[in-house]
Amino acid sequence: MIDWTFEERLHERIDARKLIAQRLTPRQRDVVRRSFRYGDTLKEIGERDGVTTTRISQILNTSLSRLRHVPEQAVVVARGKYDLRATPPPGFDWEEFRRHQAQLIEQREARARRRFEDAQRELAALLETEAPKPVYVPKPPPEPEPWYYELLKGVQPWQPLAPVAPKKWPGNIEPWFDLSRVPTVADLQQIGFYAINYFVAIRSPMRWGWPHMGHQGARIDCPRTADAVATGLQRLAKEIPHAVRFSTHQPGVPDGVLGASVGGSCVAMRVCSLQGGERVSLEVAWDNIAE
Amino acid sequence: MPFDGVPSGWSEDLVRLRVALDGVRNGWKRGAIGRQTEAEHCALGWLLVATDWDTEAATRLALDYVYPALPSEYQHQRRSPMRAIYGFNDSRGRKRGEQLFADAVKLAEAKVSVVR
Repeated sequence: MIDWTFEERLHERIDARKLIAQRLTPRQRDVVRRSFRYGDTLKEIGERDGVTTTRISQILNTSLSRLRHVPEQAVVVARGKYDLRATPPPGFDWEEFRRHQAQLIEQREARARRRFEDAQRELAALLETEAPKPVYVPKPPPEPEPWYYELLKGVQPWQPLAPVAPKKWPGNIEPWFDLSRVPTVADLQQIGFYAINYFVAIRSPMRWGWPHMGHQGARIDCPRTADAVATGLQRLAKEIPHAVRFSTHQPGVPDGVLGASVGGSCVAMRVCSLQGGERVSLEVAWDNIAE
Repeated sequence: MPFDGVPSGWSEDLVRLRVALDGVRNGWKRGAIGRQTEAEHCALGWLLVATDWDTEAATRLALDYVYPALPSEYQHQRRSPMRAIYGFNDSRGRKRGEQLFADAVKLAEAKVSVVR
């Protein structure tokens, strides 16, 4: 049988030899020849030359890289050593292999199908739940806090003329009794209770001072202190001056109808003028007041 | 298979993606598929318009082209692909939406040109 390709292969081999002669050093050529043509292992070559296997591997890699510009010619050189066909190892079960591959393909397809169905369901849900979003309306700026006069500031000689913002701490919330509604009996009871407490607190020598000025000992156990009492009494004096009587039960100190002298700080002023150890009472006539 | 040698579905996908890209350029909207309106839709809405409100085809387009064109941080979120596209459309602007569809068109073109 005539091998028609023999001449071509011969030319290929000659070209490969030329290439090796051109591009490789004698040492590289020797390593390539011994490795590919004679089939020596790298270890054997290294032992013969007295160098390590790693060094021989480096030389071989370098020479193959230099030949790589024409890879088919290098492959021709290497053809004798390496069989490039895929050869399964002995005992390889082709049927099992194909079954396994088919299973993998089936799994992949099932996963893709599931992913598609999930996505379709998601899209349907998005279409179902789509509602027009509310039009964005910018909120108007919040209205400023209402300002009011702190009535007890009248006690101080440095009373500010301009209104001040209310302080925000738990003991000084806005007056629970302002001039905006009709007082009831409960309101007056509260006012009286706070007024007496306030008076006693002020008159006590252990906590002398202004209860509202921040002295720890001067605090009285009602949440609304001077502001509330003063506001309440002021309201009483304004609305029903004849109904409230503030008495100290002292001979030298005249009883007073609060309405006669209330000026926002009447309680404090009157209390300060008293001496220690006296009784004080606040009388309220309930008759004129709504339940 | 038509005479140009490309599977017919792929050319159709390319055309539909280009329609969607054109729609996003001209009438993009945030967060509304817009079934009632004509002019403005979000990314998924334009996919649906391009496929004539065929949810199956739109899902396939989204999974095959638009979702792979998403930035990786959106792809790797744990939500579903459709949610990822929806979220991308809502969190990014019109330009990024355009870019998304341009990338999807590029993917489709590459798929077609490999066969040619």
